Amino acid sequence: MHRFANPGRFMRVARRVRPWTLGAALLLLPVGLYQALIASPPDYQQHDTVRILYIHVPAAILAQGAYVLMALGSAAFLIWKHPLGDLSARAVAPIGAVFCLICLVTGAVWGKPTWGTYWVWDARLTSMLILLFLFIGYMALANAFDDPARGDKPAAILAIVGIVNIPVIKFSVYFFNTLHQQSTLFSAGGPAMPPEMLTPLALLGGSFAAFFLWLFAVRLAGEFAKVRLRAIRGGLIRRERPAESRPSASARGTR
Amino acid sequence: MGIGALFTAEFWAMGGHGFFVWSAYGFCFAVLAALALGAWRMTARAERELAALDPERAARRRNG
Repeated sequence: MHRFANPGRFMRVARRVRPWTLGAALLLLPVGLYQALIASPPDYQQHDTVRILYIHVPAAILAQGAYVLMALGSAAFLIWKHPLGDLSARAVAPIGAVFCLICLVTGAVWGKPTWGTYWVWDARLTSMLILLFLFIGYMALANAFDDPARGDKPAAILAIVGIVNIPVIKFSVYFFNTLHQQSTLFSAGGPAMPPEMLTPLALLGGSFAAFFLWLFAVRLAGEFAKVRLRAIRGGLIRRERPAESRPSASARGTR
Repeated sequence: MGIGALFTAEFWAMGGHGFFVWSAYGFCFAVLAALALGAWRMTARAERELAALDPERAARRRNG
């Protein structure tokens, strides 16, 4: 495990993983879409709108997973000053924000025909909206300074503090009187779904998860390159400044 | 239902909920495509700039 704590080695592994994750996502996607839109039956209550849940549920799970990853990376950065912690948090934040947005929008579109409204200030919906604001807040704070390194620490603190929202999302449907139904996928007695509905959910979930990993690996490489760029440019500036500040021979002669 | 269902109006109507189903899927895949494109371009630009400043590293990476 410690072998992968070396940023260079980790980035090499991430680079090798990229084609496999993209391949898995692209292979699972058409099969999942076929199962979700054509092969699976409509629900007896929700009718064809149940098909929206095959993208809504994986997006919700991945958005929360992204936040946990962001908080763990931030904790690793704050506790051990590990550069990969900060880089991974910065890389995953926009991915998590987009999956959270997909979850909220598809949930709203599903809610209109099912609940009769696009939005209610329900505990589950509100806590997911707060998750989106936490992702946006993290990105805004991390990029708020001219020197990006100055934004690392406050953004990491925000990410760690915001982790309290994850159990709130999970248990909101049990602790509050909400319109959102309780978990059917991760319930105590196993998934309370028929296999013909579980199959498209698993296939599209797998495709989204593989795509998430590909995006993460690509963005991580970008963040790593940006840090190296800053270091090289910083080094160049430091090397150039003494020469620039040194008075030239002619200037010295005129004094 | 087979793949032939794609060519029926019934499939696109989604039992009268076509607007909701297709707008949800359309939004989802449009946003994911934009995210992928943005991530790819950001990384490509940063790596291109890095290769220009540090050609030795770029050569090492090209040689594996």
